[in-house]
Amino acid sequence: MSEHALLQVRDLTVTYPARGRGDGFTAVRDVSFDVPSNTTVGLVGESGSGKSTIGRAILGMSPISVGSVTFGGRELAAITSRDRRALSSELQVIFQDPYGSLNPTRTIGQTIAESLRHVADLSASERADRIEEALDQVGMPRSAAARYPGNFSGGQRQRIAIARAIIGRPRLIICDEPTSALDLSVQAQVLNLLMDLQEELGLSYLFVSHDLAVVRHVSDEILVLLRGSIVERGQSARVYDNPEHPYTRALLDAAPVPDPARQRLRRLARSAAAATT
Amino acid sequence: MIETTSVGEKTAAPQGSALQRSPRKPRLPGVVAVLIRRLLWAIPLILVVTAFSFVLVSLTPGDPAREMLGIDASEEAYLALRSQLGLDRPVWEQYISWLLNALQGNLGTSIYTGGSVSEAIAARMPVTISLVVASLLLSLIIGMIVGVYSAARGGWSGKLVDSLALVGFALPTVWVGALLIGLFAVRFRWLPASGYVPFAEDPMAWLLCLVLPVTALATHAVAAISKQTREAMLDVLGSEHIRMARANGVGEVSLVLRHSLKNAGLRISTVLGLQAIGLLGGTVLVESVFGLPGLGGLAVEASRRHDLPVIQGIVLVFTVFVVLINVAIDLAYSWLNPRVSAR
Amino acid sequence: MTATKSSRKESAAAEVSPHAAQSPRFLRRLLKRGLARVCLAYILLLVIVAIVAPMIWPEVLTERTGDLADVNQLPSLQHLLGTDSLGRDVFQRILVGAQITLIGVAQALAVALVLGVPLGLIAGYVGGRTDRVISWIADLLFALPGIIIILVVLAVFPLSMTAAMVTLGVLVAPGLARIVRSAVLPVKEELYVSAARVSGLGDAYIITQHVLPRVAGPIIVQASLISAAALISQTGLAFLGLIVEAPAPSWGGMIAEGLQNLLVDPWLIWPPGVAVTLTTLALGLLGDSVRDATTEGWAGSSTKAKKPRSRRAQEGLEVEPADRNALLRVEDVNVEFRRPDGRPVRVVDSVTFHVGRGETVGLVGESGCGKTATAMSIIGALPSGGYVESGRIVFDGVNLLDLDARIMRAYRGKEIAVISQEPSVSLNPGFRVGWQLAEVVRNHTGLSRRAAKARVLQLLQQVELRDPEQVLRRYPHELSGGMAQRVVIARALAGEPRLLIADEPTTALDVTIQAEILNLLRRLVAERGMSMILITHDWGVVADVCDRAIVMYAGEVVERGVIDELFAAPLHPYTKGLLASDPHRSIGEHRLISIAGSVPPPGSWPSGCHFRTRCAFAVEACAEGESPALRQVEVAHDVRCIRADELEDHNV
Repeated sequence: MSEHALLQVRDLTVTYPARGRGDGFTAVRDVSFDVPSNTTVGLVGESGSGKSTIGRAILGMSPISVGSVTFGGRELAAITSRDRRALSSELQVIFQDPYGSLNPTRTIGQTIAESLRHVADLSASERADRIEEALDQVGMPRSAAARYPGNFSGGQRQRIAIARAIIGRPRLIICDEPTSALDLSVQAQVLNLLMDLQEELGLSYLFVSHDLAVVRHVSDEILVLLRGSIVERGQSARVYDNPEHPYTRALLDAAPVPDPARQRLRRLARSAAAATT
Repeated sequence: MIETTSVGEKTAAPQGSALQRSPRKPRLPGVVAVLIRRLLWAIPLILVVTAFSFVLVSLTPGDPAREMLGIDASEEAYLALRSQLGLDRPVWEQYISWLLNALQGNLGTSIYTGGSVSEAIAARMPVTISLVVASLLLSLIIGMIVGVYSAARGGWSGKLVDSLALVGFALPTVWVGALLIGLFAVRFRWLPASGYVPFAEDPMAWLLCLVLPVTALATHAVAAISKQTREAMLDVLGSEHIRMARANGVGEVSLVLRHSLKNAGLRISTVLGLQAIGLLGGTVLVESVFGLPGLGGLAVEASRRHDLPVIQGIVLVFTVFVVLINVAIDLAYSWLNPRVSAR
Repeated sequence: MTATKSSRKESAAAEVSPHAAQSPRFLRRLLKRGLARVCLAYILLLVIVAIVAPMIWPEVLTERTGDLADVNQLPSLQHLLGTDSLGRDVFQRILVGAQITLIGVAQALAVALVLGVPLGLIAGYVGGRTDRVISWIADLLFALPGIIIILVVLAVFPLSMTAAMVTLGVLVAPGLARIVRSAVLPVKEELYVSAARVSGLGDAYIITQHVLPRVAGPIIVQASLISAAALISQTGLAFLGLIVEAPAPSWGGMIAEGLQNLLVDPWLIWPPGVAVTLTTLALGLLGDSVRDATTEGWAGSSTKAKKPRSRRAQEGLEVEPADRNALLRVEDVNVEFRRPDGRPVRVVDSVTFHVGRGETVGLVGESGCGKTATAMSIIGALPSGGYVESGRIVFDGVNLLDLDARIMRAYRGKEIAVISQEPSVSLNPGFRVGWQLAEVVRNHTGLSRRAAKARVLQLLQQVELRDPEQVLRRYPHELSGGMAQRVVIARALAGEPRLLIADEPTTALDVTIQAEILNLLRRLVAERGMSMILITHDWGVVADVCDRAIVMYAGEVVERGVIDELFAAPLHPYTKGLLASDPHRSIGEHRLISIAGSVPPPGSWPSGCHFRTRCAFAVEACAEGESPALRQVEVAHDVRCIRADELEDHNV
């Protein structure tokens, strides 16, 4: 872990207070990692692993109970809402559900422009230029700005959500399962777009997903989470090809591969393993 | 009356804060907890309502002692009555002593008649209860049958129910009452236009004299219950679990009468509770239209004559009714929805 | 496969949906409804009357008697609605009375809105303790016996309509607040609100710009219903003579006068009663129209479309010998859905395939390709509005489409069973697991209660649930996703079906649970010699479980074959592209292969080949005529593409 990474997460613990009596629920426990500039770090795990909670804690949507999160040298654990607002153009998010993430009553242009409200000194025409630029960057026609979300497919909506995230020229985008609601062919389009934008704009991503193959494809480094803790971390190819932790291996073994012959062999190997234990 | 807002109210949260039951606990304690919760909740309700009306009454310009004695009474007699009625004490003291008396069943004396308020209320209670219970049963039975049938059959019957519900919602109770009298009492002379015969005296006459008032009172509730039943049933019948149960061989009759009706029961019981409270309020009008000697009529008279102890007593009784209705609805909830507030 | 090198701009521009821009502008949609226009016009007219009438006939407000020689007249040209028992003109009194009526309604409505909307917004948006306090107060007020409270107020403020209507407004406000609150709650959880927060927008901005527009619909609906309720209440109070002092005319008071004179002049109760009813109807219908206008688009039609009889349906049963050992043959099946406007939309286009005995067949494709509709048409469980327009579905020699409803029911669960994608919503939340399973068991077998319970336990053991005794007693919401799916599978097994239709059975589950469920399904199919149709979009699941696969695109079967061949040598450009875009298969490359654009929705399929608009190999001939025929290329490997032979060795 370097001293000057863009995002530094140290000993992050997120505990939700219990309703009434009880100890509360610890969703994330003692998690530390870095996201350097122009890098993608993948967070992978099953439901309840705390992978989304980490992203939410960085965005200030979940409480940071213990630990510190520094972004560009600023501590986020105890940041005032005004400072967080100033930070908002540098730290952005893309959500899983492209249908819920756009307000159906507002035009695409209005939605995208929201991320510019805290960028001072922009004239109306500059603002319009920025909207067009963002739409160009995500491969949407400029005419989309005047239309409503109802006119667009899931993949297009996700492009629009990406445009909203990049318009303020962020340095880090939290991608919370950005393709799991999309079809296979559209998922590939969106993953390609994210990787192109990274090259073009020098972005960093914290990429949260349940799909190890997707995470491996986009990430430089992978963190594997189990019940709120990191059980394995490493270069993505290494983690995918030579997992060390039994849980990572279980995850990889459980996902069927799209190759009938190989899948048959894996199944045989697994039942043999099950028989011996 | 007020509760008419519930027609078309699809999203109303079911009696929200009332119940918090952990899902794994065995059944009985859950029900008991519901009861205790609701009864605990009733105490502040009753206190707030009675204190509110008490304070309001104390703001009244008139003076009950003066009104009871008339203009010619001597100053001494007036002061004596004032202190006998406790009017010379601060409002909160008067309220506490009223409350303590009320707990023992003594609601004071009527300014107008000088008689006991508790007795007056007790004498008139059977009329109002007959009206409300009969109307509730009638509207529940008709409403559920019509709602379930039209949802299960669809087609014209659905449209008919929707239209009739709208008309039922729009007809003012007093006008329905007037029309019924005009038709069945004045034109055909089949039924009495007004008056009440106690059940003990002549059960048949009791029944006959209730027919028109109950019809007038129940019109709105029948409309509301059939419409809400229909909508709730349609929602459930279109849901995934019903489709899957059907695909795996569950019969239509069971799908409608067991699976769906129990799911729809939550919404139906919400409406039922609101309608029961509405019927209670409606008695005020119906008793006036049909000249029935019930609590509603008493309340109107008392309001007109500024007979504050009487109206105070009726407020208390009606509030207790409302509490009882809510308890019943909560019990229905805890049976119908195993997930009550498990979120 | 244009995507590898082509620019992003092109790829998405092709996707822009063909529908005309649909602005969600609410007023425009409302005014498209004739009924809403009529109601609004009536209310507007009434407002004008309420302002103008008292100016024209100011004396009506104070007039105690009219022409006493002219009492109880029926309608005539001189007195449009006749005269009352004191000789006053009823028409004038109704029109002038509109003013009092509307003022009262407006008072109650204003108070309700001013109190209810902000409280509801705050309770819903802020949540936590604020919400609890507001909800508690609302519950309290909501439970008051409303009219009695108004009577108390009227005892203190005699004949004050304002006092009565303000009280009414206060009493109605909690109901409004509650509805606003429950409308706000889901909006608050919307991701776009989270996105707005991440973008640093303040609460005030979010409430006014994001939340309020979304809950405006319910507020307007409630406003019209509250107005209607206020009108009804006001009529009652005026009838009792508690809020309007004679001789000023009020509609309720006029009903009371009519009732008093019922024996002499039965006509008099009609004009005021009709006035109240019409006005209430207008307000109520307006509320309904607003609600329909706000939910338009996403809500399905509430009435079930009647299933038209299949074109080839004949009297009686058509029994054929089962050939080629197939358990199920789906032949040329077309499925359509009826839109809310009544027009049919085709979602499945002449689909043909078969399922052999003991065979597992995968239906593969992206969403919107008609996989689920195809499968559900087999068992006659299409969602409402859907029907099989034509074709044959032959199960063990019997065309299921010819069966009448009662005989078809005997097939459900007993011959063919279904498990669906979302286990948590495919069980009834209101009943215990044991009850639901026992019902199905008893339906299929006619066992006694006790025997059925034993059978249910046995089924739960067969789906490898630990502690089945305990699972029996649970409600569906007390089960994890994996457990719930096992229960659903147990229900499907209850009738010992010969065909199991599994619609994305593992999509909602974690990958480790998915592996367990797939193993379970594979084992059950093998042990019982069942056939299975497995719907999935996941190539890994196909490779793991299926013997053959049928690839669907835009309502059609584009390719079908044995999986080893299909994976090794896909023939259709769509199959090739879809396989290539799976990140599990393209390990190591920087860019994924993708297919430009997205699946066209039913109703906007292109002419000729359905895939040609997204196909990198499309030529002019692809656009011509009907969709190309499905033809056999290898043994048991069929494809629907005119260029399949040329492209055979062309990998994407």
